[in-house]
Amino acid sequence: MAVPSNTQMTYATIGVREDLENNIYKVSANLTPFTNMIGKASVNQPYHEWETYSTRAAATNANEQGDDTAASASEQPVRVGNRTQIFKDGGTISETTKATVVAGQSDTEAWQKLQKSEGIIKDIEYAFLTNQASVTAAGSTAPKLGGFQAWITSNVSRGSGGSSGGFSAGTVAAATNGTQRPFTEALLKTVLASSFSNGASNISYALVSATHKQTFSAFTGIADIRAEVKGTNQATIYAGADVYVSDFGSLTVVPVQYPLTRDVLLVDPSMWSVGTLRPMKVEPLAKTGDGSKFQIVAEKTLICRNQKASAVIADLS
Amino acid sequence: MPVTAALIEGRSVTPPKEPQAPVLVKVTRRGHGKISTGVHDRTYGDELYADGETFAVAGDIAEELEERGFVTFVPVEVAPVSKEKTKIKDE
Repeated sequence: MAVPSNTQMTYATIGVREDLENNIYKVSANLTPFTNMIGKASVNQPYHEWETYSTRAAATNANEQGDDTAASASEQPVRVGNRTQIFKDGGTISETTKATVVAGQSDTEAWQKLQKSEGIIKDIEYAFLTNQASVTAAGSTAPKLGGFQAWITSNVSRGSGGSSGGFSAGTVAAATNGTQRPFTEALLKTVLASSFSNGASNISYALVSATHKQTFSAFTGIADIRAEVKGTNQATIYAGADVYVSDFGSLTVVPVQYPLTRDVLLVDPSMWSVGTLRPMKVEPLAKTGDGSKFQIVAEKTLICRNQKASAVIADLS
Repeated sequence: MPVTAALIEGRSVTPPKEPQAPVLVKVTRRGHGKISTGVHDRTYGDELYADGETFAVAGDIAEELEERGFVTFVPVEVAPVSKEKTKIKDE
């Protein structure tokens, strides 16, 4: 077989239209699992406060008939607070680009706004989950919210030399990392037990890194992982665990893409919420030339309703 | 350091810290009950170092603890080198 001479091939043809899809495919599995699972609240100024309280320990309470009643000391709640953090990003797009037809973007400016908004949403989740101290705005200092890992002091397991941060005198201090050690089921069980004894009775999620998710899936528990293979069907290998039924309730294991690398967060979502001073908003900026400028801004804080309700297993290798 | 896809793509990654040599530190009054021994009790939670206790920890951790006022560095006394010359015998 031979190709007849002078056969016109596509590669020698002038003017073949490009076949570019009018779609843009994005990877971003679950952008913000923590923000999605917790509550929402409005805040009225850059320093938002609330009060926490724990019921006293139970004790024997038996009294004589006809006994006079003495008042016990009244316990006071603890007043705590967190700073708001300003998240923003901006964009500039030339008028020529706006007038140009671009694949996958019917409106180039709208596309820019969308992808920058998604970036900010991820930055908020990052600030929430990281071991970040709160910072008070002053002069040229940008304020910062205190993150999850900084808040937890009561139910923590740290490596040797590790030290918790926590709230004190208006500021949330960051924890000091300790010596890393392996993540084991024994460690998880002891932390769940001590946390339960200390008041955390509703821990229902474990946020873990990809590596620790795989470690978690190797925990044997009391599971008997077998599945019947019927007929000529192929066997399925079960190598992942999404739920860990502990002695203190079920724990849904959620792998997070960022920022956890060495810590496992045990979360009671009912005890956390996003405090919003300014919701995310796109604002056009003053025109200075042949283009359009905009900024996307949001001001948020993390409300830790009671740090005793959650736990951290820190310093894991 | 090996080049990874994350570095090429400019993704934010936290490079693993080089393990630092341990140093000796002593817990201050401020650090009493603030530093974990790395042992977690299923009833009481983390066991914590007490005021005056001495322990060895990686240099970077020690520096952070010292910054927070929780520990002070314990100077390590180096044994004096003997002034006597060692004679090397030729065999």
